[in-house]
Amino acid sequence: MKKIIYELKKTNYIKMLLMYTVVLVAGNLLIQIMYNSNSNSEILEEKKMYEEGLEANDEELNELFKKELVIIDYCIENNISYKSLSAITNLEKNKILVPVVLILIVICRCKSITVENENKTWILLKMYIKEPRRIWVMKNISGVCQTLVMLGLFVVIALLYGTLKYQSFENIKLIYDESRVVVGNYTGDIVNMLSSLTLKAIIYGELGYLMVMCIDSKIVIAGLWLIIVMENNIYNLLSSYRISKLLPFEYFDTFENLVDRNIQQIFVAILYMLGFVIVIKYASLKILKKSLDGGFRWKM
Amino acid sequence: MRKIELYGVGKKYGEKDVLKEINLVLQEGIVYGLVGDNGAGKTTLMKIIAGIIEKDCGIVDNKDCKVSGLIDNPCAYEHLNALENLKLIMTYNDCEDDEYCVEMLGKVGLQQEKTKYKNFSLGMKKRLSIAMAFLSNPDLLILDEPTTGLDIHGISEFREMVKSFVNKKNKIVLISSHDTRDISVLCDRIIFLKKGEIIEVIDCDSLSPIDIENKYLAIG
Repeated sequence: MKKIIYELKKTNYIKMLLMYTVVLVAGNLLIQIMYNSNSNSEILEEKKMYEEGLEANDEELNELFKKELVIIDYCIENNISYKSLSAITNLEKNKILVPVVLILIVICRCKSITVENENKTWILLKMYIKEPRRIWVMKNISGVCQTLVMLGLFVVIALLYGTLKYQSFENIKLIYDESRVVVGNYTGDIVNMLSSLTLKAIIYGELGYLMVMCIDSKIVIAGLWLIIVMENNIYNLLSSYRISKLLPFEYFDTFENLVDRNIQQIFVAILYMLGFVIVIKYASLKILKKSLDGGFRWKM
Repeated sequence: MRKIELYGVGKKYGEKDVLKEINLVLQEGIVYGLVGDNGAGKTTLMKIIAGIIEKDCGIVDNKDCKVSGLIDNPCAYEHLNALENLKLIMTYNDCEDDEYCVEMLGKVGLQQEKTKYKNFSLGMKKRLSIAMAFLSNPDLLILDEPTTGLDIHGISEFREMVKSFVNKKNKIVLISSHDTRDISVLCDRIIFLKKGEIIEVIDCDSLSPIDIENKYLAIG
């Protein structure tokens, strides 16, 4: 346990967590500005905007605007707040922060390797621990702890901010379904978001951890940031090719729509994730052994 | 009796032979001085004995021998202070003894030091690395130019530490230094290394620093 605590201490994890917390709070502030609760006059203004939008010749947009107008009318009729905000809706809105959360998790995972490069302390590990497997286990357990803490903090800050700001835990979502408005909830959306975030955090974190052993950390982080931001485009681009089955994007998509997927699809996605993690873990152990033996001299 | 034996040990970096056919026996209770020019292979030999790098050929028999030391430049974790760095090394060795860590810091004159390692001077870094090397109570202590960057007090304290370490615990110590005073004061035997080869191993009983210098220049 002490080894894990020191593993976190030497990477200055507390400072990283503070920075992460500041970023999340700033993100929540931004979300609050973007999705502020509407007063009656603002709802009417929004209604007018949608009505004007109907004049456009885009069928898809028109369909969307019509649905929103039905929901607004329903809210006015039943005296329900349109776009009501609560801790739960705030958590759901936090999905726009997912790419930022992911890259910060990747940076933290990479830090467990880069800290040894920066401080030139591989020699200490080699001299005092000797067995690469023990070093590897130590770094992996601390990596799992880091990821879990950061994911937990993401949820806690979103809920806490939402509670403090809106003082409500209301979980109501108005849905336009078959030409009528029905009352639903955000639970499915939140499950989808958290499950896909967890999967991505594991996959990108492990990938970053492996790559940073061989490539400069700045290149790894920039590369993974690009992939995280562009993952939908990459998925669309490669979806018709066989190689897409080997890449994680298809399985990210499964987790992003977890609630609507069948058991078989979820099982395949979980199996893929496990296989991916095992391969990466095995490769990282091999590279670590090779590095400690002086095989990758440029990093040692 | 504990000893470390090297037979036909060789190491190449690219095409360059850094160590050639090294045969050496290190015995307990003896402090060995390793003397050689820059690039003679001293650090490489020390790293091979410590198990930090792999040899290309030969045998190194250091079974059941706990090795520790200061090799290359001093290194530690920048975000930790002196005590935390020592405690970390303790956890690497699967032990916990905070009092012993504080005692070791006292011996190297860093007991009051609360600043982080990144703010240390070179001398302080060296002192901490020396404390780290002694901390794990090794059977073989390897020290690569340990007094470079140390002030006069630091050098004197370091010499006392080495002497008491060998006397009390019957350990093996291997020191490389360009300062012949260190060799003269601390070492029982001197190994002269030149271009990756051991030229001569001599007893150091009554040799002064000047004698050692002359001896080295004569064989070179």
